[in-house]
Amino acid sequence: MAPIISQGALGVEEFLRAYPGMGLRPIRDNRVELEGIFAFSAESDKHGRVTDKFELKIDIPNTFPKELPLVYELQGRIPREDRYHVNPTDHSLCLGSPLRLLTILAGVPTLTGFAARCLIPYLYAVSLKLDRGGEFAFGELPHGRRGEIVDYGDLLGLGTVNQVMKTISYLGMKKRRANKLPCPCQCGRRLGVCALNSRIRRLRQLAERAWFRQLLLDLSRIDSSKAGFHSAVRSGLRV
Amino acid sequence: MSGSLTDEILTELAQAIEIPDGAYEAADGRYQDLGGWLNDDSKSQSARYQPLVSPQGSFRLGTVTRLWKRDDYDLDVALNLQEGITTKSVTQYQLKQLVGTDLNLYRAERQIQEKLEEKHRCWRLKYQDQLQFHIDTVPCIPQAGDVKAIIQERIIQAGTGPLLAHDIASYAAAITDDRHVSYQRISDDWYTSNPEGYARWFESRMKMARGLLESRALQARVGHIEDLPAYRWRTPLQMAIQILKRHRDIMYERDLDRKPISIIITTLAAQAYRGAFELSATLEEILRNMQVDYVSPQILNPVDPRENFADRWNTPDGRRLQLKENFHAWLKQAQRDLGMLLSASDYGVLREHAQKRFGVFVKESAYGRPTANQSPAIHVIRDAPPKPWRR
Repeated sequence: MAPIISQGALGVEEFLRAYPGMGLRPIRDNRVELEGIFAFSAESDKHGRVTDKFELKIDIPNTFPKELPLVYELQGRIPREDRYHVNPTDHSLCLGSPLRLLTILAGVPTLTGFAARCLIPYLYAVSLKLDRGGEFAFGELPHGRRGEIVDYGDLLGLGTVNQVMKTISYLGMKKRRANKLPCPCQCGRRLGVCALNSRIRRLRQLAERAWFRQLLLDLSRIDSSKAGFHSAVRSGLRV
Repeated sequence: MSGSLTDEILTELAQAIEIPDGAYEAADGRYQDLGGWLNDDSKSQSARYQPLVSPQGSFRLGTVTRLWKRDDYDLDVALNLQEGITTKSVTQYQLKQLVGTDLNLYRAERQIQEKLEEKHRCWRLKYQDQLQFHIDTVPCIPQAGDVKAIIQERIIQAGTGPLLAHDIASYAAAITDDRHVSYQRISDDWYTSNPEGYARWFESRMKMARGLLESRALQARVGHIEDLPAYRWRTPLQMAIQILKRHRDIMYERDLDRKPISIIITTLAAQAYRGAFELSATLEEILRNMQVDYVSPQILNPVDPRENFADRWNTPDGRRLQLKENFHAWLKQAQRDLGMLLSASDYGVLREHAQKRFGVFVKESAYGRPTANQSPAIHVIRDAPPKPWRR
């Protein structure tokens, strides 16, 4: 067996070559932790080039890329506030909704892929915001489960909260059973023959059915009668 | 960056983690005072057994590093009762108590406040003054002749020359350990320890840089390098080990029980050394040759090849702490970090690296301006990046 730190799926070696300011931390519970100066340079058509560095800790679960790494900023340069999307409980950075990040990772399932497609866009936007103020460069989601629902509606091409919730409930079922049920997009056909099914199939590759069942449970806990809920999702989805 | 400049920076690094001037002398003073007192038969019971107090561990090898987030230096000394006691005449417990009684009297006479603390193999004496020391005294007696002969044979089989093997084996000592099944009974299977033999082996590795040591002896105006204590040899091997240990201390500052132990780092580095004179070349040699098989790790004690330092990795405790994985993680990181110091073309990166990974602030003025500016590769953000969100 190869050492855990050089296991191919993690791509730690490749990551550390690309970001030499980062280094390994002691191994605990089979988890790999990286810590150090993360220096990057990135550009986009609209906002130009940003070169910056942050002191980060990246905690990589041994199930990566099936599970997402947690990233922490250590120097306190990023204010630990809602408007910077820092988790209020453990201060991890909220780079995006879990399913969105898993979808991106499925295309580039390495740590360098995670850095390039998930981490750098966030740090790029934070760096701009710290420097110039204003909104996040590539937009941002509402906080909490509402933001998650908005993003999943976008990911699935669905227009209402009910459609998103129903689709997630189907993802928690066996494929054969879900395919026989009416399609959540309300096209009037069963899921098995609707175009939505191909998008659902891709999402099934990302996580187990139990993960989606838990997600549904979490999302169902939102008290949709709260006044804020409707206004928060109105921009992205109809209730 | 040129080789000589790299060496200058590495030497500055090594000097910054060297212990303060006079600390070795202070340690010498401490154990010599203890040795003198124990040899005074009007005060000590041990005096009739020809007690010999000698340093062991990093103070003996000259590889102590400046404290990193720790309270005090750990000075290990062997107290060898050279005559009149054998494993047939006393139990391990009796020897430990004999030494403990003397150390308590010594403590009272020197007005050391802290109580004597009993450890599995030693007695700990804590000094409360500006020197920040504690002395761990290991009671021992010379190992029996037949045991020494077996050890000598095994050292030769492991590849050491017969003369050195004989010299090493002659220092083998029998020690007490309160976890030994026969701790309170007469038995001839006391554990063996051989710190002085280990130091002799380590010196033989340092002597691979013969020309360098000859010039050191000349500078110090002594006939032979052996006339100087090892800490004054200041070889690139000692400095390289200090740098590696400091790197380990920083990487494991929050996980002390998972860190690779000093004896493993020292043994592997000394085995990997090929006699380079320059510190940069020494570190390159060590990092290139320092390897441990992942599947069946073997780090044999060079002075007692029956002992595999990696055996603990496979105990329940070692597996829980993932000692094997942690050793490999540390080695990889050390190789990467030192490789970066050795090849850095950006002075700013190098300074930052020296500070983060070795806890050393390298002075800017000494080396002028950066010779190049290494920028990270540019990422082009296209498509729709994820939108930040908060749970």
